[in-house]
Amino acid sequence: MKDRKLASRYARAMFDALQDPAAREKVDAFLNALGESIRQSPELRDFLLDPAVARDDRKKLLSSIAERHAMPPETERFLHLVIEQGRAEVLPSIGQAYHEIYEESMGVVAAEITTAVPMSDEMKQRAQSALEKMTSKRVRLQCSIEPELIGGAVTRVGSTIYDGSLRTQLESLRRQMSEE
Amino acid sequence: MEIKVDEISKILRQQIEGFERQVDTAEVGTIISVGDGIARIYGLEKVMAGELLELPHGVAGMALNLEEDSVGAVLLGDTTLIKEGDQVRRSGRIMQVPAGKAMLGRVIDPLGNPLDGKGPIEAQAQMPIERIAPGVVERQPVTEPMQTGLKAIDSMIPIGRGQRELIIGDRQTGKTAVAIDTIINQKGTGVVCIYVAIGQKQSTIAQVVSTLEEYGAMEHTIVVAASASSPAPLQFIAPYCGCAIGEFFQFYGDNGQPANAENKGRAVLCVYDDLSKQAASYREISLLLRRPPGREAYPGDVFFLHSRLLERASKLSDKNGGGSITALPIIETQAGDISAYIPTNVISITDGQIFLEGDLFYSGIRPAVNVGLSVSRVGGNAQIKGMKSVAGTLRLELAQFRELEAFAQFGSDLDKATQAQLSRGRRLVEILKQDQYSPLSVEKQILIIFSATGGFLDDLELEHCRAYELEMYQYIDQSHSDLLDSIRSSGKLDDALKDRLKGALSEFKEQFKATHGIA
Repeated sequence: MKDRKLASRYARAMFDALQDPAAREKVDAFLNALGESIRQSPELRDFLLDPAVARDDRKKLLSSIAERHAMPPETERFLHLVIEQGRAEVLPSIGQAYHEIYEESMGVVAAEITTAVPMSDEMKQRAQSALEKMTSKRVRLQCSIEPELIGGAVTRVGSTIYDGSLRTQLESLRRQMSEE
Repeated sequence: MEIKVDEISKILRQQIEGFERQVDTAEVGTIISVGDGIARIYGLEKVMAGELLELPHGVAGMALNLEEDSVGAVLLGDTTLIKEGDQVRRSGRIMQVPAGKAMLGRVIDPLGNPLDGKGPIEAQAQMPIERIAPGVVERQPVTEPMQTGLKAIDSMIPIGRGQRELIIGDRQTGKTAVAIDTIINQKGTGVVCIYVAIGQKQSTIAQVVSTLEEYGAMEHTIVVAASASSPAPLQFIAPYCGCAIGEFFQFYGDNGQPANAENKGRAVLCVYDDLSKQAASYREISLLLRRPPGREAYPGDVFFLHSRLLERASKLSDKNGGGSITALPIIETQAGDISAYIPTNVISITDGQIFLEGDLFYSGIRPAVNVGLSVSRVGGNAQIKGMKSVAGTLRLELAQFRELEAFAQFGSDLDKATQAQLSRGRRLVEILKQDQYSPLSVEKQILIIFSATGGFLDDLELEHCRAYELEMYQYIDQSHSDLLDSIRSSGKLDDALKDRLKGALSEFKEQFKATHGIA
């Protein structure tokens, strides 16, 4: 909760510091990968969070990772700042927040379609173009399967849900009939 | 009687065929944390402040805090059913409460559900619980009296329809009794009464309801109850719900259409018993929502909490149907301290206050109205002329009496004039006493005050005053009922009427003295 606010502040600062769209995209991929590594590798996590490890050593490690991926110089300074402020633990959330900010700036919205049975590629394509037409933005579509829906689909765009599943229809039919 | 299975399946088939397939669209959020009747929700980007939210298991919520990355909401219902990760849907509506004529005589909770076990209530309309009060153009000045039936109040602290008059005092000084007597006195006047009980014991609420039933006052009354065991959010919205139901009667005519010059709105009396408990429950909610505490730990907007509620008391112009809401908020003080935070706030919002005092109550002066500290800022215009003329003298003589009484305690040798003033004052105090549940019509109030200020009681012992009052009403009812009629119809006391009154009263006094063996 508190982390989210904090992370989005750092991420916003990083995003605003970069002007070049290519650099922004690169940093997006890098920060996400870094966050993922911290989450996956306990050694890296311990090293970054352990107060017994000198700050300079931690900075050096992050610098070398950034250099290896040929990141813009702002990245290195940013990572140093995070260590300096003792906020290494929020790095994964910063990655997420940066990704959200980046997608928003590119006019991309995340959408999720849940269906009872797997959708064919052609159907996915049609859903994607329909959603793009509706939101007039680029849509990053994620699909998942939930057999409990029985049939139909539940589409989620941002925080709006379009529920056309058979389960919900049956439920509302039941409610309507028991009311009368 | 035979029911065919065919028919049933036919009906069912029709229902299923008639069911419209539609995509259910909703804006949703997810609960991050829940506890103490408060939920924090992620998502719901477009939610409005005060909007009704739908949670699982039929629990409702109200969005109160809109923050950068989350929404703080209070839960109205069984909070134990709600878990982290549950989905919350926007309803797109501000909170509403059902209202209608079928509610008269019923006891309901702040959401409009019946609590008295008399079956479901058919609502005529849904009224928003928060509404901007009628503006200047839609109103007219307060000119009609709202009779409480209490001599001490109707004479010296008159209340008009559309006024907001605070009833303030310590615990056990008769605050609720004043309100209940006023409700009983509205019997047969067409005034709709709404009694909102906030944070009271269930037993107290049951007692109020049974009292109202006993005196036949429940037929024109709606009781909105949020007892001490109700969640704080329900106690917080209860007065707004009561007011919203009152607005239905004020804004809509008897035919259920919006009121206008032909289709009159009703006069409504709203009693909020009591607003100090409502402020305390609002404080609870605010602290749980992490709003910064201010004086006495109340949040910064506790003044607005009460001002926006009481501002809805109004008298509409004739073009808007002339309906009115009179508000009688009640505030409980601690050890007579009317300079605490909430009492000063509400005193400054209302158009006057009735201050009830424990010392007076225990010395037998009931209703225990402290005449010096009680005022009514607008009710004077609403008083009928006859009452105004006798009450002016009453007020003056009582004030002089209080001054002299304090002074007279030092010495016993007082001159005749002072002694006369003292004894007049004692008699005035005596006749302002009144039993509970026995409201008086305004004509009879004028009669008794006229006899006291006119000196008809001066040569009677104090103990005889009570008997005098009761027998005088009987006597006038039996042999001079035309006097009551003419006061009622003309509304004022001209010289001719005064002479007739004096004649009748002297006649009665002779008889009274004879029957009681007074020389």
